[in-house]
Amino acid sequence: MNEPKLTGISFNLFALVGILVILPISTAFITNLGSSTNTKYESSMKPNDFIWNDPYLCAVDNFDDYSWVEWLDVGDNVSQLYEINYGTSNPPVNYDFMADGAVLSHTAGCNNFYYQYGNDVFWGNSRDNHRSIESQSFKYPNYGGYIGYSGDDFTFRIDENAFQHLDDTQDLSGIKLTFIDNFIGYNCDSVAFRNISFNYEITLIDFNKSLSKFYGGFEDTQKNSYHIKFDPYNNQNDYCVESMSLNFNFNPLESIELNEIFTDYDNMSAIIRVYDIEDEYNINYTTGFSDLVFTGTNKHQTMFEIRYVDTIQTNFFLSGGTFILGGILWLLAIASTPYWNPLMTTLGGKK
Amino acid sequence: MNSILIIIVIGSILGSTSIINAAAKNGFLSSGLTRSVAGGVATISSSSFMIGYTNVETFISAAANGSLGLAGFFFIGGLAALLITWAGNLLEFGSAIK
Repeated sequence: MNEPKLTGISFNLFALVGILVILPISTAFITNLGSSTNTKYESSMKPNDFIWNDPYLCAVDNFDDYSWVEWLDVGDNVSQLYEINYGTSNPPVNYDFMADGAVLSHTAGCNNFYYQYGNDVFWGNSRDNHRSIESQSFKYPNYGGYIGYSGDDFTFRIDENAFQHLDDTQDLSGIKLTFIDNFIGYNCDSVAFRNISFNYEITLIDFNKSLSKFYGGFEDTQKNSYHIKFDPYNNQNDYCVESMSLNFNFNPLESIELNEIFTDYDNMSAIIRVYDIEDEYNINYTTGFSDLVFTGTNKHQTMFEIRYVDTIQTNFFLSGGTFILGGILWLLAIASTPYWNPLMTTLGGKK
Repeated sequence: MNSILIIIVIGSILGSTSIINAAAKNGFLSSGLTRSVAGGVATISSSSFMIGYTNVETFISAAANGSLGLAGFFFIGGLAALLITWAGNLLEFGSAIK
């Protein structure tokens, strides 16, 4: 009758296992609780925000004031002229002569061109300059254009203009970019749509480029389709177009950190890289087949969505939860000494 | 006895990791939790099967870096006290808990 319910070794195991199980679950619970005040994603720009010849955006003497998106690295590219001059060797080959960052192939903020599907508002036509690399056209007048291979690594910059319509009084907790190509629509069950997987990362930068913060490790697998329930431009219902969506869902600690660094969103910009893109049907992106929304010869549209978090509540949940967890650890530490043993007494362990 | 101990400890790690992974995959956790937390660096637990511990490691790292304020230091203190006590007990008495 007086035998302990837990012997020394079993109680040690009980404590160790308890820590190994409880610690990850409790920290996940605390950080997840901090995310509970996130708002839903909303398009950062409403139709009224698109103004023809906006005096701010159309300051043509300042290129940075002229764009929403600039492509910094359009991936590998092959043109017919390239093949004539350099042969048709398979990638990887040196594509250095392909100029990145062509100035005319971005979504310009100087027009009022947008598309709206339901509550989703997309910036007007954008190119990744696979089709019209202006500098290359000047260099090679008979430039043959894009013929297919694009690689699996792309980098672009979201300019300050895109951040102008954010609410500075709120704290950012997520950025979501959705690219669509609305030039051709398909039945949503079409084989054109399939799962693609990719990694992506973002570097947020302030206007003077004196501050920057890198957030990496994002990965996703998603179907490359965007469902258009009603198309007011063509008066059509229920079809899909090619799409890719990058969801930079910051966790509570990241949200607090970035909102401490960037107090004025008007001055922010972002450099985004998407890489290691894989297609479940066509991993190598064989020549002549375009899988990604921003490759090929068509223009694409971009939706920039943001969401906010209540930092005061988030801080309360995080700090409160961490404090309670810390208190439990302190009590467990004291209870592990010979001086105070409430658990052993309660459980009838070996004295 | 040692082999049983090792099996139970590994089982606990895998069990808790599975719970976290299942929760994350089913949308019960913020997707950011399976990535490294800002202010913290996950190196030990960055391999995919240990992803449930990525958050623990980065949580500890963020607390140590001051991202969680005084509560974070209180947490780190508690964790350190627990580990030191267990290590001390183990050396002095041959078992972690007295």
